[in-house]
Amino acid sequence: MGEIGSTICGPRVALRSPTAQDHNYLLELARSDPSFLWTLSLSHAVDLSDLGAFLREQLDNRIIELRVGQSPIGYVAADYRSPPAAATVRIGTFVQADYQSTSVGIEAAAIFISYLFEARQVRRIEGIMLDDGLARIQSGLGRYFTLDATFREAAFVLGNFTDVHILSISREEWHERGSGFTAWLLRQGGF
Amino acid sequence: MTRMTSGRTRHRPVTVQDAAALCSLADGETGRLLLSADLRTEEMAVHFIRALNTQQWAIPRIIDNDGVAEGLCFCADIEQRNLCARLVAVFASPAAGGGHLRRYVHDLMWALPYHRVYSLVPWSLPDLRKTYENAGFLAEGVMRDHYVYGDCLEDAAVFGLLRPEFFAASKPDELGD
Repeated sequence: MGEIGSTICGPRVALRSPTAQDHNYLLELARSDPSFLWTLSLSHAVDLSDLGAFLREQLDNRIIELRVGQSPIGYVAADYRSPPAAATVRIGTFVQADYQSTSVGIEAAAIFISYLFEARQVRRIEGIMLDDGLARIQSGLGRYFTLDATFREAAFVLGNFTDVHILSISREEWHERGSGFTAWLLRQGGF
Repeated sequence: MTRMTSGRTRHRPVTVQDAAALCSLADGETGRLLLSADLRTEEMAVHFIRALNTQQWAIPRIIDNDGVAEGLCFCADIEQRNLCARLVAVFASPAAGGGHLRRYVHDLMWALPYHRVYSLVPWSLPDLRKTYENAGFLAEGVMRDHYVYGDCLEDAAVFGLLRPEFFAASKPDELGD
């Protein structure tokens, strides 16, 4: 994703490289949202000050700023999974509270998925969802993904262990299902 | 935490003297799928062992049967925040690995506060999948196309074990040292 310096635009959202000013917000996101750490495979990080340095280094590689108009409203995070030959990327969208009930995050994910499949020759895209969000994502973009596995009690959140669901979609599946998704997004008033 | 098990088989810490044994395991059926191809040279095996021994909570153990390495177990992808780790278990004979796996998990759960251990088992190793089931792990799904061997992609079965499940299933004589 290094060359994503140019902006990718959807009907409402634009994806662009973040700047150093995004760092503090990203660190706060890492502190508050375990899904963000899971998406970037940073759950092993114990010291969040180390995490801050890591995020600064990775801004251009794995984090994309999400804008509506001129306003930054969130991020798309992406992590190339090991081994590289599997060409699998784990992605997640993280939008501000005001936009969480809208479909802009879903639209951003969709255009980024298309970008990865078409421009980056990615073979499979994974998404992770903590237990409380599975029903929500399966009513949206998640319905086009396949639930591969549920890592039971794999995340410690607010004093409780919670399940982590791994969803994925292959390039072929995206081609089969993408039109259905576009129709769904249209019904949400996204275009 | 060096402990004796039945007969002359014991689980003991891994040292650089085990590099040749590690190469041998890496060249076996499960080793080829679960360990890096780099480990087939002793020099890389020594680096790997040193790295493994500096990793907190990895607890690497070699299963030594009268000087013959029958297996290797260690924890990877350790998440202290979530008290979770991925368990890597390589056996010269996967079908005979059940007892060794149970013993390793027993030592692990008594030594460290892990809440969850899990493993990703290549779909082409049904004996190893059975070994995890017999050791009390539950199947949690399949990660599609997770492993790559040459031009081939292979699914990985996910097996997980939670701390409460482990202690609930332990026999009274297994509880305590």
